Amino acid sequence: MWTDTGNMQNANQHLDLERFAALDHQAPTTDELAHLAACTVCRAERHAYLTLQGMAAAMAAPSVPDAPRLVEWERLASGLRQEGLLTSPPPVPAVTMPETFIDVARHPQPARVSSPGWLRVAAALVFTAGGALFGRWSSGAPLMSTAPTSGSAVSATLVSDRDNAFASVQQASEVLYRAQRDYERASLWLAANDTTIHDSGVYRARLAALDQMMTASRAALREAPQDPVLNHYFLAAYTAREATLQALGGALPVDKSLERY
Amino acid sequence: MTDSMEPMETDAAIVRRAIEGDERAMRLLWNQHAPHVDAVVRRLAGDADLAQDVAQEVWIQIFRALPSWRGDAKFSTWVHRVAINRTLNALRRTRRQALIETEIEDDSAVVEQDSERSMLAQTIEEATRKLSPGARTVFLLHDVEGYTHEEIAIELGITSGGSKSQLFKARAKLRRLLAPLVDAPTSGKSNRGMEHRYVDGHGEYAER
Repeated sequence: MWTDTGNMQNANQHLDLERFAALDHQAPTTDELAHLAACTVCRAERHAYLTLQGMAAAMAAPSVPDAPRLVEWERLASGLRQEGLLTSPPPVPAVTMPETFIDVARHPQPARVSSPGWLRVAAALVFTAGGALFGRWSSGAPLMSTAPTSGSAVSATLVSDRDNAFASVQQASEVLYRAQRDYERASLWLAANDTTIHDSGVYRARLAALDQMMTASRAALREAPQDPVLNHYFLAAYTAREATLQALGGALPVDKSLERY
Repeated sequence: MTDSMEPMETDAAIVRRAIEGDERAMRLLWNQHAPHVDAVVRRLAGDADLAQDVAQEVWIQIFRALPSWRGDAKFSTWVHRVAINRTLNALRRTRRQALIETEIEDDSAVVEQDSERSMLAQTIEEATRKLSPGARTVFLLHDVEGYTHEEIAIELGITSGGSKSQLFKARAKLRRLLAPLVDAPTSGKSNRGMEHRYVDGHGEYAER
């Protein structure tokens, strides 16, 4: 449809607005081409539509791999089992984790460590962080007063324990669970009762390190949520963090309270 | 995956295991394709909450449809198509797209300048959310996903002519909503000063 506007340079008729939207479906007629060649307004309008179509095509660009998933695998797997599409039984965790820890792991704060690096981080945790955490925590404390202050000392203990066979998976799991609970209790007890005076800077440094451990183990748990080793590392870091926060609160002068570190 | 394996062979092997109910295979497919499928669901749903509501159903439908993949298309292409189809089905079932086959209201294509200015969008995603559900879906399927009008007609249960009509109206509305983004900067006389307006209900316009 044409409209006489009366003030164009070489032609008096513009293309209908919706005609621009259809030009890629129906090629312009000779008259329309002639008008487009002469009319700057209609050329600009046509350009605007071409730009719009380019923007639309760009919407189909590859998505960001790190964007949050719309549905978590655990929830989807549950639905797939109900539908009979997933036949394997749900994995039974070796250890019944306290719900709070599972919640923290599955609904984490934004992770700062990307998943491709989690294996490397987890390996580093296995060989160093455990020893460092236990060692630093126990320095001067009666629980480990024989002073395994290095990772190698803790590792040696673990190696000797490995010789003790367990009768069943359940028995090993129970021992693991008890050890975990004992560790948690001992950490919190120490936080409440250890009278060794520490500068608050020590606690702050420890908290920063523990935050890194939690971030790494949380990222690892996203990839392998049922892995008992990763669960224990996350739990250990979580417990130690809570205890350190508690200890840091105690280390502050009485007129100061802990709001951030 | 090893370098020596062809992608199709790898996909076929994984899909076979997934069809048999192997969780590792299913999770692997989900891991590989979730970012893309989620993007499709988000785009078509146009609403974050709605996207989350339908994503689970879409994924279950994708796994249910696995046996229909014959390997004659890339698996990622097949997943993309199935994701679109299942998302549209899920959206229909939510009854939030009850107006999918309805025509755009007459007044939706004719917007007064003042109100239109207040509706200007900063991004095309934002602008598409201002379209009616039917026009929005047709626009996304045609101009973003590359569907033909015949395919859209089948997908939405409308005629190909109806699909074209909705597409053109959608484009016209988007063009106005996105004026600051799509108007070409001009030297000398500015086209922006020569604003178009509708002079009747049939889409004619004049300069002012």
